[in-house]
Amino acid sequence: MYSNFRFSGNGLMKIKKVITFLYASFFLAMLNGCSEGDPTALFESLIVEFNDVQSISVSAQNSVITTGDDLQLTVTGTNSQAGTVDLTEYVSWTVSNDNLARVKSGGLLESFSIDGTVTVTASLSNFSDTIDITLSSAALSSIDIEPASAVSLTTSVCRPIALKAMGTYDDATIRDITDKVSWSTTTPSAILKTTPEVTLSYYNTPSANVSAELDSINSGAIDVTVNDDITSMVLTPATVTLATGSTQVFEVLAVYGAETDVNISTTVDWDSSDTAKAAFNSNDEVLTGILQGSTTVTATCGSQIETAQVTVEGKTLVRIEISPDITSGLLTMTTNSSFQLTASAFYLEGSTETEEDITDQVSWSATHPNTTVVVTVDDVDPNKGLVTSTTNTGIDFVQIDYSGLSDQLTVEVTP
Amino acid sequence: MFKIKSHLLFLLLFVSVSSASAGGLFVDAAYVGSNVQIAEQKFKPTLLQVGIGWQFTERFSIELMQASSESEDTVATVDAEIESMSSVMLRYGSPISGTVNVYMMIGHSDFDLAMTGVTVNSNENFAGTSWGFGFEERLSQGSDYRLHFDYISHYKEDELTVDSIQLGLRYVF
Repeated sequence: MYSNFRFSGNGLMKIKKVITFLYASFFLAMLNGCSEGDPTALFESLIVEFNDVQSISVSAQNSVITTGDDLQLTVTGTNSQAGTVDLTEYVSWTVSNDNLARVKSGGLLESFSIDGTVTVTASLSNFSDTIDITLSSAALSSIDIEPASAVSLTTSVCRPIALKAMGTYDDATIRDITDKVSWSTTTPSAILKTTPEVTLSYYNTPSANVSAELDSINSGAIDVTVNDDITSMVLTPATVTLATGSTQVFEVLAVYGAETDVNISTTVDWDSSDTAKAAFNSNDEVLTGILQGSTTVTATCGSQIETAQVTVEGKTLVRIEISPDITSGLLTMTTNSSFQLTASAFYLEGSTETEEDITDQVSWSATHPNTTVVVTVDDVDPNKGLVTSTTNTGIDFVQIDYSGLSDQLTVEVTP
Repeated sequence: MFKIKSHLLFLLLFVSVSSASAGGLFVDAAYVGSNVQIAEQKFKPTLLQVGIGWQFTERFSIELMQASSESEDTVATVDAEIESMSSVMLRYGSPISGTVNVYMMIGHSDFDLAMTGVTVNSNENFAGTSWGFGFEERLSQGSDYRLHFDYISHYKEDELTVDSIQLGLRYVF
């Protein structure tokens, strides 16, 4: 009977298909979830090296929080030059009792509904630091605003006051609840900013007040006395020509008695006489051109009023470029040398594109991806755009920003 | 490494069994430009690679590749080098003309990554599921030589990503 068994061409094909199927199945099974090696230790040691970390410390806004609340932890590294760097997103976290709380990557501590104290450890390569956080279910009993002497504050017009809300709880602890309360002021001329910190400023002088509230507990209104003690102020630029869609940042420098050049650009009251032509966004110092025409910009602070004339042209800013436009995308320099860069704006008017030199108008900056400073760039007249290399070799980026647009050039420094 | 050896054994078994019938054994040489992303930095060490494979149907082929370091790359104070890399890739292709074939790949890569700096001195092995795509073009109609260009993602975790671009030449027996 065996003599009748033959490998025909079809039989061989079937065997080949079976082997192919078996191998493919084995192959795919091996691939399923087979990442090997843990890069964490290498990652952390590289972070330490790139940032020249000599020590780390972990901190928090409060050491006592309400059970169920979150708390942002921050890890700061100190380098050999005594500089600091935020390492919060790079560290590994452990919690002494994971029934009470856990820490997510990014340093956000999430507490559960049990009272107690946990020790949180932040680790980065060979460095570590700890912080004790107490979780308490005590209720909030009162809120006080700082700084407040008794129930009043005194400030100068257009000068921001940094505010804090401190909560007193039933367990006698006092906690910083600045970012949890709702802030309010009844005064129309107040500018209340809540990021990155809470600040309050007034561009007019009527009596004013501020209050904070959390869980239906109110701090009570704090009276604010605003003194119109500004001596003079200067608005720049005094005349502006703007393309439609482009933006112009204004600056106001004030004199308060013997104190000069106080930048109050973010706290004065901005106004455009014709908001159809150009308008400020949310009362900040950035004006946007809308339609061809002209408008008068007014900056008001107490009894001081300054104006600027703005002409909006019927052309649109399309892009900005650093010149020379290096086709390789890389400008090569030797150490201890200088190179003058220029900046150009390209406008579209109808179907015609025009180019304009804006070297003196853009903001120049250099970023150092590898921490080491390879080049610097001048942002002050008359040397705007002058790139100077240091003794270090490597790569840095030079960037220009203008009217909400930006362009970047890679600069490589060789010996 | 165990997985690569297993793949190699099965590949040799498969090739030896399949060689009895019609098929295509091929060899490959390629220049590999890698991109290692770790600690918010990018290193670009290069490798030279040889490979052997089997075209076991019109669309499916498999290839075992072995690469060795050609150059390291330096960022700030840290040097990075992929000392060696072994990969096995299952390839599924489709001709788009008489001479050009596009394909996608899935497989496994195993590599030794060395990094040295002032405080860092590491040489670790990593392995992971790989995938990629590419195309090959016959140098002329009926030629046994095929120029190929591939992108392969070798390893991807939150803290480390390794991928490569490969330019090479295949010879089909």
